[in-house]
Amino acid sequence: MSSHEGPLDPSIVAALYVEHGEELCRFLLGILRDAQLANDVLQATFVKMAQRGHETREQTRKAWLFRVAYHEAMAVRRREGVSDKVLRRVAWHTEGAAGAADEPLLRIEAVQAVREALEELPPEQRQLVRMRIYEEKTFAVIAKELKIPLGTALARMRAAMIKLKGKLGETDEKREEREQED
Amino acid sequence: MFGRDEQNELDWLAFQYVAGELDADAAVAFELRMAQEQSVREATARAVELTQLVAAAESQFADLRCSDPETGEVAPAEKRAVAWGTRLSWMAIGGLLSLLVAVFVSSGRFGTLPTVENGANGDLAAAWYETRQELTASEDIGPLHPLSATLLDGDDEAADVGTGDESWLEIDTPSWMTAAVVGVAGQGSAGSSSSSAPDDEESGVN
Repeated sequence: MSSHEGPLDPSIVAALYVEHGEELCRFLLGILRDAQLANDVLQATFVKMAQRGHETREQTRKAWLFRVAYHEAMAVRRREGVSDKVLRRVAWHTEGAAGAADEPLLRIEAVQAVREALEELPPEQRQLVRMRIYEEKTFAVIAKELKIPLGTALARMRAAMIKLKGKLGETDEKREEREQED
Repeated sequence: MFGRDEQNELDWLAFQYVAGELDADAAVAFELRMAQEQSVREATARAVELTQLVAAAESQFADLRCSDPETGEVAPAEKRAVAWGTRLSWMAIGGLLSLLVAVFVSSGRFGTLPTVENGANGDLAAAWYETRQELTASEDIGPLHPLSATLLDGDDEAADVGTGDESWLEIDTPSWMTAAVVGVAGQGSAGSSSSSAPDDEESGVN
């Protein structure tokens, strides 16, 4: 299964943290809706990697990390009694979250790219995005305020998210190209 | 590997999940997929990332302009954001001015601070005076002691430490202490039973 015997080399664990920590933290935020809990589970996940990572194969370590993080997060939810009300919260608050602050330059570039993409959106889609993500109104509330069917609100949002995702993907590709050139 | 449509569908589902828009059954089903499929886990992370970026971008826009909530039309840009630091500074200044006004009004005089009345408030001031005497006579007080900062405000005052000349102690009694005692004393003599501002000053200092 693995060529390593005994605990995984700390430098390998550190490298995995650098490579996957931020993405893992976002994933955990998506499940737990709480930055502190997400950070705690992230740390616990990498402790397990340090302890049992030698049982994994290099090619599947990312998936292993995510799987362990998932199970740890679900266990925390059960243990902490995270209520449905908390799970109804939006997951994108970043206060106290680790990871994002470690790469400020990339974040600035990505935020700039998203800003440009937002400005290019049709007004009705732009409005939906602002009301849902920035103002944190539910789609039901938005549909009621704008006097549109719920399905229309959802469709506009979906279309907007596809465009925004595409723009973010372009930014990631350009960054990777620059890194390769360097 | 997913086709583009399948990927978009998964990303949309992940967005609804992180936005808390899925009903309970749909959320449980999504989480079961998450347990099995790495693609679902990564889609969840992407959804959080994208929404964080959008929230950050929108907050930058909101700092510069406002929009009509009913029509969604953007009004002419106007800069309305005031830094929190500036707000707090003005609040602090306003609070200090209110306190000073309260002290002077309760004293009935302007420009001079009234003497401390006898009684409990006089005991407080006396205890403070005695403590300062003990501390200035003590060799334990070091340069970092708060009293050192008020006592040793220059070489001349440093030379006065321990010489028995305590007149400067009264001058250097912290204004917050004097104001607190005077404020309470003033209100007590006027028949007032409470004073919030001086109490706030006292409770804020240790």
